[in-house]
Amino acid sequence: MTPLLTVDKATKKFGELVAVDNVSFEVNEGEIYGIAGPNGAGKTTLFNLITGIPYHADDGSVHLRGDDITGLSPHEIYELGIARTFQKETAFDTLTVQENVRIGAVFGTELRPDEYDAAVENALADLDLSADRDRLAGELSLYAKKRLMIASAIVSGPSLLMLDEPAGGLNVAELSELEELIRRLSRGDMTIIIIEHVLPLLFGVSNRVMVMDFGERLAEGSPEELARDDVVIEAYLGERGKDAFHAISG
Amino acid sequence: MTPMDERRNIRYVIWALGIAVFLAIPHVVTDKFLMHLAILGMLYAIVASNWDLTLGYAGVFNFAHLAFFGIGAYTSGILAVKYGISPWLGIPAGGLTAALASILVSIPAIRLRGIYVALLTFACSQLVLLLLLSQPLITGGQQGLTGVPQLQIGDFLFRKSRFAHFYLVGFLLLCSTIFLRRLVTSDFGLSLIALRDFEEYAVARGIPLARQRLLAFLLSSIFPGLAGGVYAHFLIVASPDIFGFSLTTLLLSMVLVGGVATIYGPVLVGVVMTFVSELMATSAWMSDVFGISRGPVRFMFVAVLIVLTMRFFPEGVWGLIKRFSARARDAQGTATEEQSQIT
Repeated sequence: MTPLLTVDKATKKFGELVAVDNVSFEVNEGEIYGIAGPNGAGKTTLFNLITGIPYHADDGSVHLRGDDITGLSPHEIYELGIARTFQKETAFDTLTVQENVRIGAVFGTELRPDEYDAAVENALADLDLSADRDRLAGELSLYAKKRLMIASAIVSGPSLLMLDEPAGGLNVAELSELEELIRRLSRGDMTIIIIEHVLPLLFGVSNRVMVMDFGERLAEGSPEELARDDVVIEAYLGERGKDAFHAISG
Repeated sequence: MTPMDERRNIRYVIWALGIAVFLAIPHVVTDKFLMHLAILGMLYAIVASNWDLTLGYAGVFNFAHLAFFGIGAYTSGILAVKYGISPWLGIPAGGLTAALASILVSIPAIRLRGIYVALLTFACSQLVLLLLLSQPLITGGQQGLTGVPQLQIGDFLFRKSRFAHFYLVGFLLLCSTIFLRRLVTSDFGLSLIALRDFEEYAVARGIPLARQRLLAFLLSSIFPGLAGGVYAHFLIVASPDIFGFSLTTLLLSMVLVGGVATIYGPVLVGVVMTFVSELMATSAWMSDVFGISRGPVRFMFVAVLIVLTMRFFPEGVWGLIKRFSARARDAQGTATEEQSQIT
């Protein structure tokens, strides 16, 4: 079966710095694919290369259901069914919550104009934002803004949802809600790629996880496999940290 | 009645009152100069409010709209003077030519940002001016195109009537304002605001940057082009002064002082500023008080007004009006709530 997304030898350089170095991976329909790695590992750059925001790969290719989408403009990539969120909570602050979500429904989707309102209301309800529909997005709390970003991404019914550190800055209760939300979204026919530093969340929801470091793909496997992988532990904790980890975990 | 219905009804009443006052003005105001200023003010208001679509809503700082106005004026003027074409065909042709020019300007401008768009559009505007000056046999060169025929229907000459130009230009301003308000409250308007507020996020939600910005320039060029055509037949001349820095500054002040991204602000302040600026140029007291010759006084005033607006109330006059009306609504809401608690 053709994977939903295939990234093949993607490379991105900024001057001498190789931010993403020859990274390849595949994501299958319906799975939740996690991407982990320390700060500066190249995770968000990889998201940027896939979505073309704000740049494309210098080398390598991106295929969606076997079709080459490398170098397409961001709105064309959205039209093909890839919606992403951003690391920093992002919204159109001068627009209302309802208008923020409506933008995701109106442009680059197959929805008919008479379907916009229903799609927006469904997305608002899914993300528990119905009560805030007439508030300005700029007035929302951090967690509500993150949910708004997800609502405006899912309103178009994308086949691939890419979440960039959705858990950043959330408290324990919100993290637990978010975990449930991600599971709920994936129970539909939505495939999800998630970048996350909060490893319990990432390992809890993902079917497979790729670990990156210094722009390279370090390892890939199930969360259980990676939790035992010395290379991964060392990337996060360093040599001494790895020893300490083994001492504690026995 | 819900508060939203109430607000809508208030809006209808304001519109109805505004139209009634507008229709009554030529009956009440008999001074020809004041009527002349009112017509000029409405023409400038059309340009300023359309400029607001690209500058305020799309967030693209540019100097293209005065060129659209000038192109409309020269197109209709040249068609009438050199080819004997009726102004009633020439004016729409002015709008069409301005629209074509907007596409030509947009193509290089839409992918640029900030100061580069401003420089490019200013350069394009000056290029149009130089083109016009380079063809004196057709355009009249530095002297401008004179002998532009005045508007008439059959034997009825517009200049002979106190009403005709006023109502025609008022109707054009009304159409332009309704058109712009419909645009900015539509999904297209949402897309412009989204691109202005957060470009990367907007394109990530499927908004095609280049297409929307091109459309913003195109849609905001038509009415300035039409207004330019009417302007040429109203003043019976198409002058290169249209492209001058003085008029550019004046119109920019209408957008900034009126309130960016409001449409109504530039319309309101467009008319008011024309009066203030022209009266300052013609009355002696300002120059007598400050000891400066009349010409520069009004432009100094405009410059100071822009600086003060940007410093103390960047939301502009319309922003202030909205703020005060919201405060009044809140106060009324609190009073009603207290009343209901008492009863």
